[in-house]
Amino acid sequence: MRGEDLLDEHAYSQVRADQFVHAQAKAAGVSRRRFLELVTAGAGAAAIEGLRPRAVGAQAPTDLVVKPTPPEFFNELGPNREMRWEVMYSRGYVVPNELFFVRNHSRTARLDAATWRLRVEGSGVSEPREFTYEEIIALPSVSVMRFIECAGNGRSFFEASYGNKAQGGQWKLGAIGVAEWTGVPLREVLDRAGLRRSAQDVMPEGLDELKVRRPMPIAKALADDTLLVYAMNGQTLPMDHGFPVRVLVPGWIGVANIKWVGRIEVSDQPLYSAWNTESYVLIGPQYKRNPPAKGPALSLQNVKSAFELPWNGELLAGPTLLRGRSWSGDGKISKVEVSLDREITWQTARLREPNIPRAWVRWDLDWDAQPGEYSLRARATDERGTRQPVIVPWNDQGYLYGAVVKHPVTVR
Amino acid sequence: MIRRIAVTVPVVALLAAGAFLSLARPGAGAPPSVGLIEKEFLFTPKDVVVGTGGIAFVVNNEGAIEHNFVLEAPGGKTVAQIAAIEPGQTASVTATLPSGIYTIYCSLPGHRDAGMVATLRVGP
Repeated sequence: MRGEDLLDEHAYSQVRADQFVHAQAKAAGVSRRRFLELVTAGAGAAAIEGLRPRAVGAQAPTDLVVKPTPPEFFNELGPNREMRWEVMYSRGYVVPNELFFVRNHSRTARLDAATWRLRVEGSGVSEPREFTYEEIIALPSVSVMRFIECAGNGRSFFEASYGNKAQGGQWKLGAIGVAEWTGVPLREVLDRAGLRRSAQDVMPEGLDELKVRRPMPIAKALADDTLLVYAMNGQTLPMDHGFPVRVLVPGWIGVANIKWVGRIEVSDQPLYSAWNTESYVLIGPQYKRNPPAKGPALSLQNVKSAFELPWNGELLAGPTLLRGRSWSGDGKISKVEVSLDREITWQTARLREPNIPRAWVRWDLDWDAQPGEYSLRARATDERGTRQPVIVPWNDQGYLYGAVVKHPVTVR
Repeated sequence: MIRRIAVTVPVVALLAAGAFLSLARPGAGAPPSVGLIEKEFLFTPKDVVVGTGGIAFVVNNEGAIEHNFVLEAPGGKTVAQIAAIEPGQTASVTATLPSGIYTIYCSLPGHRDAGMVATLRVGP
């Protein structure tokens, strides 16, 4: 960067210092241009530090998302940001934090870890109590690779299958990401609040404007990998992803993974919220009402696959390596097949390690691409033998589109 | 905010003043209209008083996320609704209403609890 000899210790230290100050400036919400102005004016780090207390407040409260989401990385869908799959071509296993999709029900909450508290209460605990951020991060922790995926990922494809748009953001397949999540097993916290044997449901609640909340059964809450997460890919959990603490409920639909968690209700009775009775339920001709819910409530994600290619993109003719990823809420992927000829023939793709349950597997296939218009297909089978179908039943809110997707590509 | 209200000037003046009544008679035959603004997470105005009969509800989403509009009669029955109003969009619905105290709200999960609720008083 800037031509310094980074083997020279002094130059290296200076570059590191510059990078650090720049990163601090960025974290404080100062643009690169403004940062350079400050540096030129000799204001330096002190000026940045002076800005810091206002950083959160300086972010216009109407901004839905805090992190930069440039159009080369994301599709903008109202308050949500969809990852463009082509950005994952040749990348590693996890989605970097800056590329991770954002699905919010309102605005990203701006919280202060110093004043944040987690309240655990309800009829399912004998010693209701609060935890501070420091207390949470001092508890035993684990790190796991898992996906978080919006229940509506793939929703736009209902229109191609049924001629009608399902309600909600018209995602293609970019409402998913895999990260390394670090946090405290939820059971560690529940135990410290005196979890009763009679406890039946656990409902985390967010500190966002809508107080988004959704219950899970006690068995899921006590699973080894159900976590209170405070770090993502080795970094402090970003605001858009639930800072200071979010819940990780592996394999379950995205909304279960409550961001900005501030309260956990533990009950010896079944719990309900609008997010498992009104929305995130299956409503359609093939689904029955399930009072008090309008239909069967969603929990596990289904099997899906995506190519690491732009939608409607172009490829150069000749030998190429098609890449993609497949995942399932119900375990590891055991097989991925690709069709280059509109499902006349299928070829088995090579699976690349690691293949982690409730995360994903990367796969590839050699293709001597000839000029023409293509509709690429990929279908995965998980270790329980569930294979992606040709079509999925309609539901009004467009959840769980797990059918094989037709990915248009032009080869020139 | 004012320029996007799809109602006549007297209504705009009343809304801007935070008044409760937002009625206009845009022309012979057309029902009077009530202008409502949706934002995260409230309705403006929060109290509306109208006369009995046909009313057109003109609802403008000035927020940043999707909202909807539900009008509930005193017994809890939904008497008018707009399924979805995208940010920046205006939509309308007409209802013929007998006297009573009605509830207006956005039925998207959490929106009503967060403040998107208003009262409509219909009287002779």
